[in-house]
Amino acid sequence: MSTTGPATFYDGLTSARHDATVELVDGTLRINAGDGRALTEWRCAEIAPVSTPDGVLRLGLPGFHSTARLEIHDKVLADAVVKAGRPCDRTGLTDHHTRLRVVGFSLLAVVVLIAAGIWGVPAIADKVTPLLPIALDVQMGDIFNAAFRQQLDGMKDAKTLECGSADTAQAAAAKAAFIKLVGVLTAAAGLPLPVEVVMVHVKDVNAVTLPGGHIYVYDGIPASAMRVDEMAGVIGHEMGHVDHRDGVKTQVQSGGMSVLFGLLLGDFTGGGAVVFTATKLLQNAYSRKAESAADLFGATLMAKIGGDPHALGEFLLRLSGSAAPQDHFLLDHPEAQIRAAAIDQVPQPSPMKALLTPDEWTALKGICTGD
Amino acid sequence: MTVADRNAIAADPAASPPASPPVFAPVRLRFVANRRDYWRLMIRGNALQAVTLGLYRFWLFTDMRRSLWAGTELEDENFEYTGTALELLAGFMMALGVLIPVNMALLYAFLTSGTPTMSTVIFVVLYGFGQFAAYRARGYRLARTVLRGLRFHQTGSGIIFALRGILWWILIFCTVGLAVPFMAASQERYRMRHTFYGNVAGRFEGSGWRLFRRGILLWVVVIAPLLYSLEQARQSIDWSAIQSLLSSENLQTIISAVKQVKGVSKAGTPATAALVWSTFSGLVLFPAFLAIAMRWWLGGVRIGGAALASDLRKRDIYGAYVRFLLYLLVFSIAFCVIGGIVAIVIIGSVSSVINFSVASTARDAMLAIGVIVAYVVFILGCSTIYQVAVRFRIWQLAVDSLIVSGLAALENVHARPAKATAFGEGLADALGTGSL
Repeated sequence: MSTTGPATFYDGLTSARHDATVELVDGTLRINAGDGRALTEWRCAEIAPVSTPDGVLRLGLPGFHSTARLEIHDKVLADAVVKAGRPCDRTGLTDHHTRLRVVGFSLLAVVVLIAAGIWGVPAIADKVTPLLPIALDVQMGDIFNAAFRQQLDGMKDAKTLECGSADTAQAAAAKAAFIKLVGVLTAAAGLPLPVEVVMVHVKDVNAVTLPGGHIYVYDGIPASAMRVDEMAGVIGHEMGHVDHRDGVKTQVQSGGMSVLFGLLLGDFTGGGAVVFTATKLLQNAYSRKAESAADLFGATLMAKIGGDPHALGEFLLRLSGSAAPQDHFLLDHPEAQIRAAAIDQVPQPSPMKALLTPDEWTALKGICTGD
Repeated sequence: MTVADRNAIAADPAASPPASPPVFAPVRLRFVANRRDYWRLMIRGNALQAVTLGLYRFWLFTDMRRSLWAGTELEDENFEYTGTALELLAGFMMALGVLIPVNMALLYAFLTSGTPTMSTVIFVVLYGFGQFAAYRARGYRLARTVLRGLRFHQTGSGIIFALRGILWWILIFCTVGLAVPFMAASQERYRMRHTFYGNVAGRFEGSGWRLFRRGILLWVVVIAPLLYSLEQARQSIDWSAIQSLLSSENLQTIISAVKQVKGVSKAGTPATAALVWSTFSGLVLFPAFLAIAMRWWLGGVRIGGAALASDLRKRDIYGAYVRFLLYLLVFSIAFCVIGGIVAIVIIGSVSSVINFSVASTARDAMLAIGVIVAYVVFILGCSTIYQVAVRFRIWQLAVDSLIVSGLAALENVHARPAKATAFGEGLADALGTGSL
């Protein structure tokens, strides 16, 4: 059976147009010039249609280097050629089958990347951070510290930022007690870099550690701590962040996350929100891990200096408002209970020592009230 | 003579002359792609992008290009895009191999110095990378563009192009934007000088001065008031007082004290007004600018003896944007109505499990997921409308506006090997400077 019809042929060597006749014989396309001279022969099993608008069948040979093209406008001939060749979509667009495969592989890739985000990135950050020089912590700390101090300056509720800077005997005693407490903790902590612990006039029960050993304790801590061990536990916890170099580690982690999610995924309009949420959730998970590690460091440090390692847990529980687990569908604040339970695993030393004298503690408690 | 005529001749060898004398009157290009098909392509493609967190983009971009290229018709011949999605994916992977170490080095440099100088250096480096990527990506697209069985290709160096771009931007900064037309002309001359169809070289004949003359009015309306008010501020404000204030540590005292400095309140209001005016007039006049720039650009393109001319009209470009805004309005209303119904149905069906009047993690999680899904659907919808109503429409208007003369020069062009990887495409994609 043979079908014959007119076509236009481009040989891929010059832009010249060849008016051709095409003969379809036994799965082979014989392409002849207008004068009957044979131009070439294509086997139907090899040819592939390339993208064209409706109503035209344009054929080529597969492979980047072949640009010879045959254009068939004759519908009968075009249908016959398509029937003889491989089943195909004339628009040349991504077909249904490929689309499904792409979606399948993409979902797999997304799962792998999320797994890499959950386990890979923190593992790499843990391995990489100790390899970075301490000088990096210090340099980063200087930059962060300058910016953070400016921010605190806007939040302070007294004339000066630092507590205990008034020129009174009360302030001097408070300052001395604070220096004594920090000194005891620092001596036992064996940190990789020198720390600077500062009490600041900011109304909040919080403490913050920046890279490079800058620790800020807000005035809500001494005000709401019931005994010195609770405040010492908080400072010990912050020293844990210094010991684990969490500031630098966070930067390494967020760098890894931005590669995984910023570069690889989410490059579509609106994708930024999905990526932002995923990154935030993962970073929360990382920071929970870092907090637990710092808790353990702080509690162990307390035990080492003869203080009560469980004081930090008690402090956290009291701040979270309730020691009883709540009967929600999902717990609202399970962190404090879980953290306190983990802290309680560190055995109390016996006998325990008083870290400060009662007078010193009274002075320290009022460190932020005298300015 | 149409293809059908030719085919009639071809079918009857006796009637076919040895070489039919071609008619080379100026020819108008035609855009024949179907907008309905393109809507379908974009809606499906964007939905799949959301499902695959963006990984489907390589396939979508390839399909978009195939449709647009195939829809562009010169004398019954359609352009053809031969690139594949897997090439784009491979190019993207190559680009990551380069960008990840570069990004890490830049992050390290920033963390350890963090000075404004460092920020400038990083900005310049990334801009240079973006220009390099755009040039190499153009090379990839040209090497995948086939017309009459021959490829286009691009020579020249992406590094030189990027360095030229950086130097031009310094000049633009110094001339507050007045050098933009000259940059556009110079960079397009470089691009077109290194553009080939087979063995025929292209060139660019648009002049910077002509674009300058056509665009200066826009510059006067949009940029000049801002410059004037900034200059007024520079003269009237007591800068030494501000200098001494900045040495203080407390940000709040600085902010409250700055307001008291002589000249700040006097110069502040006109400066704000000028900024508002520039933003507003810039948005309103952007389609006019686009029309002027595209017409100038297309009209300067030459390939061998063939010359392009464009009669693109400003009002058509405005029409595209107005239609886009209308579609957006309709879509927003539909989104609110349908989204509201869906939300009510979902809340109603899970209200037996979750009490929505009491705060709980489950409720917050539900709400957060709902907000993110709604946001993604809305933004993707807007983007789809933009892609069709603006991008597709402007492509169509540009193609339909083109007239080619001197087509005889393209009758006997010889093939030249064209090689280009999709590395530039990948780089441009990762840097967010990619284009069709």
